[in-house]
Amino acid sequence: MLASGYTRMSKRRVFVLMLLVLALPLIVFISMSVGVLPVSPLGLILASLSPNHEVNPVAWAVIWYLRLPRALMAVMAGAVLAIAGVVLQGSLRNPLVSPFTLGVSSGASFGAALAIVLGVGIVGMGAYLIMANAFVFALLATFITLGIARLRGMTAESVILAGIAVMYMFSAGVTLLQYVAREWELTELVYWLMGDLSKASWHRLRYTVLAVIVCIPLFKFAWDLNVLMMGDDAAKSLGTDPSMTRVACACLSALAVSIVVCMTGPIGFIGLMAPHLARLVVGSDHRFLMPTSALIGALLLSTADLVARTIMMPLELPVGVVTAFFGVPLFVHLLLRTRREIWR
Amino acid sequence: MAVKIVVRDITVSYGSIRALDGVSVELESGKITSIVGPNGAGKTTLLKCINGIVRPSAGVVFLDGMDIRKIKQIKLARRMGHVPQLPPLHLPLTVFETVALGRRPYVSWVLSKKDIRTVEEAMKAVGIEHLSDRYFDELSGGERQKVLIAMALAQEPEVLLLDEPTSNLDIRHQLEILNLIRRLAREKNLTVVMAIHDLNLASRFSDIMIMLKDGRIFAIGSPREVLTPENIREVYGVEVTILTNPHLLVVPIGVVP
Ligand SMILES: Nc1ncnc2c1ncn2[C@@H]1O[C@H](COP(=O)(O)OP(=O)(O)O)[C@@H](O)[C@H]1O
Ligand SMILES: [Mg+2]
Repeated sequence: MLASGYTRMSKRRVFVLMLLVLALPLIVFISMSVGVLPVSPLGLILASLSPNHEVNPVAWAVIWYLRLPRALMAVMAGAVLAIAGVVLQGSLRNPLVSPFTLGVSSGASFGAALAIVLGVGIVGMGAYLIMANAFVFALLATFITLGIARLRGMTAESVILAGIAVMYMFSAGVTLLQYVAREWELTELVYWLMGDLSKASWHRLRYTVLAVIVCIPLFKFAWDLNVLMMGDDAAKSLGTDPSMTRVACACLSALAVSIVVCMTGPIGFIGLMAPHLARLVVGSDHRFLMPTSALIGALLLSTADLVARTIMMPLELPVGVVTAFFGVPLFVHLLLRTRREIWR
Repeated sequence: MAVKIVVRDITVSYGSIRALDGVSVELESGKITSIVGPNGAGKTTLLKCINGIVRPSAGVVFLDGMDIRKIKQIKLARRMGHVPQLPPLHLPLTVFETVALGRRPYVSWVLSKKDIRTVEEAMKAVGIEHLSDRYFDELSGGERQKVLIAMALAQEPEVLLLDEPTSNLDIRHQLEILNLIRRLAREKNLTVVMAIHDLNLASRFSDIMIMLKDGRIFAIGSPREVLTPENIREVYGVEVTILTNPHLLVVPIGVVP
């Protein structure tokens, strides 16, 4: 059987996927247990079930209102960033692309900066003003990028170059706003720009679920992304429309990432790193690569947040700092260690 | 079934360059048509037009009487396979996975038993069974070319378009691949159109020959009709002698000053 190698490989990939799925509840459980106040969530649940047992209300509140939503937020945000990263790298055929290549993060940052520094916004007030602003400007940046790229036929290069240009433009805007900001505004803005999950709540989790739902249709493009590896012409002759695929992937992933980023700020590297790590373990078939990336992204962000919360206890670091400080050396190490070239 | 392709009066311009200029031709099933002509004559562009990859600025391509612009690209992909001139520089897939991309027009998510069988048959047909688990990037130029031919066959096409399918192969594999193409054309009644540089191989393996010059058809007909010293001098600027026994043989003598 010629297909035996392929069948064996597919089985191995499914196995890896299952392992990753099993690791998820584990990391959520650990996140719930570890912190300034060490509690055993299992003990707490058992205690709450037995009627004559007293539940510690503080421990309960910490777990239920702080740690669990935050752990779930890390899982979902990580998955969304990773999925966006993998479909953009695939549809733009470029290993350097991340979910922020289309200008999402700089757009969101500019929106947030406007709200924080000038109090200018579209809707809402306070934290919601920042969120709504970040969201709107993230999408705006994406549309400007795609609009420019359309003038050049929506080729992979045109999308990437337009994205970089838009990123510079909004970054300059953020710099300008930092310059005119007062001291306390600057502090808030800088913190926002680092990206963190401390504002997670059940309420915000609803939006995150929405972001995950937006990602689901992306799986429909797995085969299109596979044939796009052959180049635009070959993809066309195999029945895929390259620019339609690019636009659909860009719009859906930008929408999902905007929803996440407007709540967490721009958490870097997950969306770049997770797809590459996934390629190392399951190869480049997007039917396996996409779910694997999502799971790895979820695990990476969960772990990073765990580290961020505990490494300098009782102080918390923004998770964006952790992904950069710990993630990048790890990533470089793994890339240098691999035998086979995954990208040219 | 007999598929007929009618190319009517197509013109393609890339900016100020006219790659094709009013080309009309009819291609019959079960026949091998080869396109010859110097570099830049428009061979690749003509094949891409027939496949709907390049949209001509004027003119129409009909597949069985149907304007191919009206056929959905995915439907077209079930009927036409195209082997590009240049394989992708980089493809991080195994050979099996690569050939399986040819099933893209048929699958929605998993490869069915039939899909897998078709992929296996395609690999056997071009003789790359032993490469199944190797990575595409680790293959030689000729092996890559065979993988791409297998991929086109996995599409189960009625029309096979090949852009210089033998350019990276040694003399033995050139003959093997061309024999395979001829067998497929006969057995499956495929319509085969290939661009090819080697005039001697082209003459041996094609029923009809199209000679392009500067985006126009300079000559068309059987190899013996097309490959005359006059035509070759005019199109390539090369002085040749033609031997005809036992096969037609083009012997270059020198460049026309
Ligand atoms: N993408 C392109 N952009 C601009 N010019 C092109 C492009 N592709 C082909 N051409 C030009 O069109 C002409 C025909 O090219 P092509 O069909 O590739 O010729 P052949 O395959 O016979 O060598 C050449 O002059 C070539 O330079
Ligand atoms: Mg060519």
